[in-house]
Amino acid sequence: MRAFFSSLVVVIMLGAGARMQVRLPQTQAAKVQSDIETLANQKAEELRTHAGANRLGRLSLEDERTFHILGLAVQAWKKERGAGSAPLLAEGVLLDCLSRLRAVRGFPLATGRGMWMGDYATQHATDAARAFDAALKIDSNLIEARMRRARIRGTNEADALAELEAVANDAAGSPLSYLAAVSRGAIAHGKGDPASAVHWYDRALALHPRSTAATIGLRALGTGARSLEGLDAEDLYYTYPCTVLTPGVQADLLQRVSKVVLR
Amino acid sequence: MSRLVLVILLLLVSVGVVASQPQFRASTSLVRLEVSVTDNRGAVLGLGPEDFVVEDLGARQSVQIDASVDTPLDLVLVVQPLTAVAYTSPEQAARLAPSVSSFLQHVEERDRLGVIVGGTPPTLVRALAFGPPSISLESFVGGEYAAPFDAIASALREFPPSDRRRALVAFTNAADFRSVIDFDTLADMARRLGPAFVLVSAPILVQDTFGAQAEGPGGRSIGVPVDASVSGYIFPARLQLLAKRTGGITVNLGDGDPKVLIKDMFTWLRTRYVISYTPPPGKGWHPVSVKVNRRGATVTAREGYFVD
Repeated sequence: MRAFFSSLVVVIMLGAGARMQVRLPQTQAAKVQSDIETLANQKAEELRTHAGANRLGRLSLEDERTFHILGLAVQAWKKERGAGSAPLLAEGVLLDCLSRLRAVRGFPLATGRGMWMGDYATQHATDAARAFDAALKIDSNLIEARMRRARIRGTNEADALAELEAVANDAAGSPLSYLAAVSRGAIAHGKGDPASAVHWYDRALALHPRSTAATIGLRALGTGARSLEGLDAEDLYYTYPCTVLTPGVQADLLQRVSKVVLR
Repeated sequence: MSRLVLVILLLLVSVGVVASQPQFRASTSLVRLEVSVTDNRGAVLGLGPEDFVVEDLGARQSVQIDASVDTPLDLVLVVQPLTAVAYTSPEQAARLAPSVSSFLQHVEERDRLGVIVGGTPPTLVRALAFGPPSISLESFVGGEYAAPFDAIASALREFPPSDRRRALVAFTNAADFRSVIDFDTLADMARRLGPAFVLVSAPILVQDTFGAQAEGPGGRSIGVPVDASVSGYIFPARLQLLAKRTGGITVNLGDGDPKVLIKDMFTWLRTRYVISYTPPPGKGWHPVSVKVNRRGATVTAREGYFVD
């Protein structure tokens, strides 16, 4: 009997479907039942506390469905022969997009990850960086994947910061360079390094003089005297997270989405 | 049973909704704190210096008091797009819309108001100017995503130096997916900079249900599964933190009629004590404690100030 109890598992999960029941002597059964109830109540209290401190809302079922369809489209695309790096880039962008929804309840894009009070957003960010790794293995010239990956990992990894800076300093000065410069400034800002933040916000302004993001960053640091008036009302920094910027890939993704919807 | 090993596997599934900068004014010669005192009947008036106990760096200060009951205001309004609020919490958006309208109706000719929409990107709808605005709710609609932290950070820079009562009023649910300024940085700015924050929001409904059961060898269940649930309304904790740091308040639109709550908010804003004292020496963070000798009274004041 001891061996039996040592392998007892208390499972907490949604609902209680039909399961095979094990009959126990009455006194032991009562104790087990009591433990189940105590545990459930403890976990409910933990969740209540966690939600009170962290929860900001949840996606509607319709929005969850949209993300689900995008996920299916990407998975199907990855299985196509000769798909190359594009679906991996698209997958990374989708996960990058989801990673921004911090403190919002939704479902995990990758199924099979049961999470308790864990932060889906953090997991999505990790998964996004891995998707960009995979895309870059196939095509090391994917600047968008480099920039997005470096932004995600830049808060913790020096190599990633160097990569972000390299993209920001790229002489061609593409929109991705601009995004990298703002992101680098934001990381420095968040880490309490105002001198570096000013440097990178200034770089962003050099690339995009009407940048709202860089101007706000400088204003927050108290070094920017500029007004909010006349700034870019469609600043890419605020709109890019959920859109693939690499030419052609977004359109190819939407084609796959259409197929999923029709199916 | 004492050797019972409980291995917890948790799978939660939700089934419901769940210079010229406005630096805080502290020179080496004078600290000036805006303070509100309320009890369950509203503002507590008629208090003098002897009624306050003010501590700075843990030492009691000798203070001067200036009371005002119906003071004009300098306000910068930040509104998160209502569509973005609805993206994560439709019930919040339904409460926020009428309260924004009510707010705009309370602005008087003697008040100065600036308006920023916390969209992506944030936009200045009106620079600080006297008088009620002619702005419709349509100005506060647009997009699923929002950048309220950037909008609030930027709003802090809209306040000119002034002895007028200043407040940053933000209608937001604190769900921010785009800002350059992260929440911790914003909270630090709130601690260092200018006006009191008044944060208007609505509670969100949280409903999570899960079951617990015991399993034996081979996955066979033991006993009767138990359903446990968490249900209730919660108010964003982040907003409470910002209010606390700045000597401001949160307005929970779940507490009653939005029109009444906004009217009470303006009464709170227009009634204040200004406490002045010579600060103790020392650079860095000066924690401040303000108490009054009135039973049941609540004092709202900044947590402290920073001397660079």
